[in-house]
Amino acid sequence: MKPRGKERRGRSRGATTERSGYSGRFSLVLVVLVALLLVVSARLVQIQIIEGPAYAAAAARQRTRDIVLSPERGFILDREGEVLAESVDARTIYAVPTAVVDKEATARALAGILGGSEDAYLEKLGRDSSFVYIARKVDISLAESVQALGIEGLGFIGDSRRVYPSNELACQVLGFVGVDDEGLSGLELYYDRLLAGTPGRMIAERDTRGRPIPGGVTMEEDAVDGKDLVLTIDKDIQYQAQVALAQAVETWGAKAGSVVVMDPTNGEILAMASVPQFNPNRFGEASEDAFRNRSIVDTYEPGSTIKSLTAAAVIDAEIFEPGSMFELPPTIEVGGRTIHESHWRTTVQWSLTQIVTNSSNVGAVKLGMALGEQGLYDYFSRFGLTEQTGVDFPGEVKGYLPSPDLWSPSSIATIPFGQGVSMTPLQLARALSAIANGGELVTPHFLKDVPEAPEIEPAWPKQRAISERTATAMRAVLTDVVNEGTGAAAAVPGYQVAGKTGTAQKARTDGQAGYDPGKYVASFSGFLPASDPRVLIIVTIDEPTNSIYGGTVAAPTFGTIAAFCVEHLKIPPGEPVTGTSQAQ
Amino acid sequence: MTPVDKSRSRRFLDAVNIPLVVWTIALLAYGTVMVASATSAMSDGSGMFTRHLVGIAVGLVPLALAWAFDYTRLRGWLGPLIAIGAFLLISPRVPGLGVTAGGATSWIQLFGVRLFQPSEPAKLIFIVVVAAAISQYKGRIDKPGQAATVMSYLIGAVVLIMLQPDLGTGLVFVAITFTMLIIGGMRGQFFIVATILAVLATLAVTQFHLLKPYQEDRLLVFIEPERDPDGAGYNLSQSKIAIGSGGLTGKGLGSGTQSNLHFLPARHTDFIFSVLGEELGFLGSILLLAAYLALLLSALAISTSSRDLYGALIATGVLGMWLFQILENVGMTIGVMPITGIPLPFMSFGSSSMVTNLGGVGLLLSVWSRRYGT
Repeated sequence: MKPRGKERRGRSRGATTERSGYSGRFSLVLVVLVALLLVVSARLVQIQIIEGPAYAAAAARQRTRDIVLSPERGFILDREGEVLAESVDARTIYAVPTAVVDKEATARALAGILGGSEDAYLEKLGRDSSFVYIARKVDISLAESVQALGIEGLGFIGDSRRVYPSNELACQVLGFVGVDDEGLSGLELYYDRLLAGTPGRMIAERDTRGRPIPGGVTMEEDAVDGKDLVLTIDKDIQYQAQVALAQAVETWGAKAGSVVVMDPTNGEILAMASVPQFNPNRFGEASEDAFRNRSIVDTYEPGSTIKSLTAAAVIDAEIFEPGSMFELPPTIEVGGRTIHESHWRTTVQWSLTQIVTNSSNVGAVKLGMALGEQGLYDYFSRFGLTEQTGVDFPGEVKGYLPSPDLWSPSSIATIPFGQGVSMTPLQLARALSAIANGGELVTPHFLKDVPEAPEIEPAWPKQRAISERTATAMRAVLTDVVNEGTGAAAAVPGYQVAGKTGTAQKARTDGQAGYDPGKYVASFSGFLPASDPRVLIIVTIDEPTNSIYGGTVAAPTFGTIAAFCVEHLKIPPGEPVTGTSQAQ
Repeated sequence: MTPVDKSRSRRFLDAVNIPLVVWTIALLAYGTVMVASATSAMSDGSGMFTRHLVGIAVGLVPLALAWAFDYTRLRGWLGPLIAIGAFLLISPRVPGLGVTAGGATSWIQLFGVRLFQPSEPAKLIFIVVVAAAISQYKGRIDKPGQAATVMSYLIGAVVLIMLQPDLGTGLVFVAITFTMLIIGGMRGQFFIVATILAVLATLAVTQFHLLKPYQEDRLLVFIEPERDPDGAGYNLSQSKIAIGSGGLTGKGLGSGTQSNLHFLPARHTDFIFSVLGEELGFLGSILLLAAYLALLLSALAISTSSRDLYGALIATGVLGMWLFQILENVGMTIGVMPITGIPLPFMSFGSSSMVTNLGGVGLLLSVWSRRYGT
């Protein structure tokens, strides 16, 4: 730096001599000083001019919070208006970690009131974030205890929590919701859009403690609560069905079981139970196996149960009458395969009705062969075996019925008595509804009404499967199964019950062909009163161990549930139905 | 006016360095406006603003004293000055006197009343003492022993500061010493050796864990922000968002959303520049840097016009103190320097630094007013 003018004027003599070699040093300081300030200025150009808009956006993001206003999820009610699923007020607790002063003490206090580990809360409070959930959907009383501590940096949001007041009741049907109240399974999932409602939102300016700024609300949109659903389920029948099923599964040492109770005239499902079951209030503790609504998502080989459909087909095709007589040898060979009866017998002369009541495999083969491959396939298709039932439930599967060109030479012998074909219990219920109601397949369903949305009128279509005459004749045949055949244990005093037992082997699951020895599905399917059926019940017991026969394992459960239904629904006994076998 | 009157007024004007005074007043005004803005949304905003004004008023006392006192006579007081300086630096560690906040013990209190940060006035004493030490070598430090003598003052001060510990303040002392040594004529090789030794010493301290872990954290947070449990990284990103969102012209005084909404930490003290950058934008920031440049050039001019090397060194020491604090404080808010608690001269709220900086102005005026001899 050049010496200043005053020095040039020589008014600072001593200093001038002392500092004669200093101008380079001052210049160095000057250069360093200016250079460093220029670096800072350049950085300011970068941040404020070049990247300014990006930082402005970040600032806007940071100071506005999009607050979701949760709608209240609609209730789920049974057909009588009893609550199956409800939403109760709760609180969600959050924290602004930067505003929490004593994190250790806060974590300790939270663990003391809300439970859970102190370390987990400490981890949340230590996050470099301006918002973190501490606990969601906490009971109001607990939240108020936390609020009473007056800890700065904690916030509370009004919320609601899904509660299933009857715990396990209809658990697989109802399903459950996740932490954001979103339906995760069952009807909660299927009707999520109706139940959930529309969340509102509030965009509010806020400060670092998360406090909304007065007058800073830039947008507010109210939440629209979800709609209540009225189901076809009858809470009392559901309860009886679940208890009876659980008891049967336990008595027979079975792996699992399911029950469908349906009104065959319109497809309304009165009860649907599956074991094992779970408590949807604490679904996190249950195994996923318990979530399966087996009547809809699991298929079985129906076994003998399907003989009622085979019989209905030959009657409807006007090939045979219930009274038509057949000579039945002990075994029959078809396509290189020998078909046996389940219990050995000599050659007999049996009517069509007796083939069904005694559950004769050889007889069913004769009926099927009379129909022919295509005829049998067509009738089974008309009974809905090749399609889903259309039930209002997520994840429905359909059974397996190959088209005739895929059949082996022996298929025409095995399919008529229920081997090499599979179906869900609900498909079976739907097929049998045609026999029960005069020939029409119904669409099984759970939704009865949405009172707050009268415009929603779901259609549950019907389609004719068999003639009314056939249906009437088959009801008589199936009445005999209970009166004097394999299904005696399904009887309900004072009522005529029509039904069919089933004892099916289970296909091997180890990848090899054939059946797994010792693994059976025992079932009983039927309806009552036989003259004017109001209740149709399918009981399926998977892998019973103490006995394997549908008539022993499943029929008594059917009887228990059916007896409750007629009493609870005040169903009159109806006209007696005369079986053709009695006429002979 | 009589000739006598004329010469008297002229002598007074000669005693005043107009640019230094003007830019000091300008910066004080600018800072006062910014502190008012930064504290306006605080619960005790008006009280803090009053305290800021009181700090300026109190600072006029050391300014006047230093100005009136002939700096050349300070040489005769070196012993007591060293003793006072050392006591100031160690005082926070005296039981019953120190206050611990933010992991460092940098404040002193009496009877529960927080007084001041003793390392602040110690800076001025350090400048006066080290300037005396350097000036004895007549502008040429080319013997290792000479360099070691000067460095021993620095090392002594830094060791005492590290007891608090406060690495940022320690670096201010380093910057003061190095700036003065440029004028004092230390050989370039010695600068390099000194730097290498400083790095080695730092490595030794951290490598062999001579400090307690929390002290190590407190020291190294300077270079590793993630060591700070309260989130130096958070502070930096908030500061950059505030400054960046200010754009070219800023959001207007008192309208800084980020600063007023409490996103900015320490917004009236260490992060006052972030408030300025947000509310007054790039233009306001550059205006501040220009004012600082003018202030520093005034200090440099005073240094060059000093009648002796001692005065030049004192002026350069004050310049070095300000320059480093400006660079460090502004630099940390925009992410080019590590985060540390160094206030921005004349701008930040805080009496200790205000008094010190005004005392620095007094030293400069003392050098200036005696440039022709006494």
